Amino acid sequence: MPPRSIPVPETQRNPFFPVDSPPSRNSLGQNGPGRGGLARLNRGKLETILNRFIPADGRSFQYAAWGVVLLVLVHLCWLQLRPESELHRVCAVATQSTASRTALMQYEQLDRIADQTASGNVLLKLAGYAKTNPVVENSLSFIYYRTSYALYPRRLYVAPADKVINNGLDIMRIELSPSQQWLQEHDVRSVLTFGNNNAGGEMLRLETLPSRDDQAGMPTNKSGGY
Amino acid sequence: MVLLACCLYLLLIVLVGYILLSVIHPSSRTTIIQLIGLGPAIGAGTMGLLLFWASLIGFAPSRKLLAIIGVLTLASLLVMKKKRRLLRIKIVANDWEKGDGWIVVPLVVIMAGLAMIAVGALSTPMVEWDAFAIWGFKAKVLTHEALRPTPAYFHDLTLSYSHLDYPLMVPFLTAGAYAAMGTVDDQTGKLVSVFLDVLMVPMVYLGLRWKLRRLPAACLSAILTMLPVMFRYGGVGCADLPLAMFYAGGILYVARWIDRQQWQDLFLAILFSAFVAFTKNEGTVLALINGVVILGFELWVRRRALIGTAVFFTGLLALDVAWLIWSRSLPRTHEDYGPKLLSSLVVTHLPRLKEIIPAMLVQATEFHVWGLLWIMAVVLALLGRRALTRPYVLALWILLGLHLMSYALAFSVTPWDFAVLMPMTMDRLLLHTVPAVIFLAGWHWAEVETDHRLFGSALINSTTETSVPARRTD
Repeated sequence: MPPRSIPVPETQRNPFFPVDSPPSRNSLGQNGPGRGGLARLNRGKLETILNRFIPADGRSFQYAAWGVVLLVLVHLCWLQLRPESELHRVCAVATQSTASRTALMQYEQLDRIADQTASGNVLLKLAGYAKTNPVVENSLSFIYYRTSYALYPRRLYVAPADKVINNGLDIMRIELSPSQQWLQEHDVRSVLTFGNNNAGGEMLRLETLPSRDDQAGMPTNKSGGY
Repeated sequence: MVLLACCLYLLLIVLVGYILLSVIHPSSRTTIIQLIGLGPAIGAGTMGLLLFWASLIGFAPSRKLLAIIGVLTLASLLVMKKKRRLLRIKIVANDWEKGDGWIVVPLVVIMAGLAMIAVGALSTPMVEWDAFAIWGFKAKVLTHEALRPTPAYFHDLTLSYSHLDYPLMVPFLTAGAYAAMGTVDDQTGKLVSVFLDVLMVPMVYLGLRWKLRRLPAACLSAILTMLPVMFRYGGVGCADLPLAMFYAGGILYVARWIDRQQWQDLFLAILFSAFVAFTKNEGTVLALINGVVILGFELWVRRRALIGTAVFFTGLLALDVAWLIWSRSLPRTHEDYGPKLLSSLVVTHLPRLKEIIPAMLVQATEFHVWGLLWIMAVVLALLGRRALTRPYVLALWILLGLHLMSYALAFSVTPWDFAVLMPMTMDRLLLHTVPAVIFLAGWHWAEVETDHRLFGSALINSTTETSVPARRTD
């Protein structure tokens, strides 16, 4: 039996895409000349070695597959062209549109707190309805997560270290009211108050605590962080 | 300057990947697309693990550490070049077929989509909640402190919301970028996230090209790129797309191992599975599922000694054992799905699957999130249903089934309100399965295409049969 293909040297082989062995099921071979001797029609012409019979279902399956894939691709492109699409959102962010600037403002506001409290840790206090109203839970969570991230390696304290905080409701439940000594021990130099303003909206206020020298004349050697 | 430092760091990752590929496939030839897909993916995973191990022995990511890795990488490159063991790049492919020129169209779609993802990601700081609260926070911690002694962060329950026990692949890769830049600049640092997320496309293309022609593989890759979830999570700084990217490599090489029994495929399957397990907690389950499927097929199809399974689990354990031991003492959140999934809770909560599975199906058919992806996969699977007789396709179906089942079970034991949690997380979780879905669509499609190719190959074979003997008799 003659070799059907020239062997490829080991170094020339592509390790990721080796040439697959020919598929085992060859329906064409079974239908072709020499197998039963039945001449078949292919697109109206007699089957020859150069005009092999292609089963109609195979061809239509191929067209169907291509049709489905192209339909999905076009549909996805259309989805991205809609004004509310993710692509438009990305464009809005990339072009710094008004809407995206507004959305970023709340992040920048909290990031600025990290800059304003140049040293020491921060205590988060709740005031007014923020102490009890679960409606603000989402805002409270956001403030805690974002400020903690921006401040690191300094800390935003909302509870003693052994209390589990997963969201704003946990902060509300614990409501830390530390003593002066606790604040000094934890190097807390600013207080961030979250509550409601006179107009009924949410409010965030940052206060810097008087320095320890002013308070008691006993500086602490505790550094920021944990 | 900061951007340049970050780019140099990414270049180092690519070089590390190239070295590893050359070690696994010495003196072989590779195409550019394989090199830009596989090399950086392996490099990224390896760099994440290297930085973790260095941190465990007391060295936080720093320029000095990166310089040492860089010098070692360059030395390895030189040695391997001298010994002619480096992977060689095949610039021109000669297997272009009629109609492959149309590849330009999906290629333009892919490039445009990826460019938009990159631009959108790099024009803002880290704003996705999970990105800064979980992954970005950890990256900052790891930049500041080594893991020995364990930073106080990892035992501070007031930061429990940031999931103290989550794996550290993405945080370490980001911390590496911060170290290279010499500053914590999360906007430029998102370049790492873009790099990891964009890699998903060449990885998937690579898997499709194994069985599929160039043009259909490119079309399916374009579909992946244009998925709204890719824009939603691409480059935001979360670990979901990196997980999906590593998972794509994992399942591809598990399938190839099942199909070809080549050790190189098994090594790559081990590497990618280890990376998956070090990227997210669900990755551990996915890596174990990969091992179980290898075991199943060795028992059932090959009926041979379980060497492959033994090597897989040994390799996986060797790469991830440090993480498993170190993370054992970390406080868990009330979610902590691992023990719950291994407890009797799973059995008592089984009836909840009656609600969960239909809800998952509904989520999967959200057109504005997935387009017609899932429907396409089903249709292509039906058209190329004969592919089900191939072990690697069957293995991938089993992998996908077990993957979805593990998520459904996790939903059944969740402490959160299931009705609230599912709409919030389902798109991200299903995103992990997208590589498997697209591989299945592609490999079934390849079966449909086989008819067409058979026509060509039958012609060539019959020509060869008539011509070669003539020459031989001459």
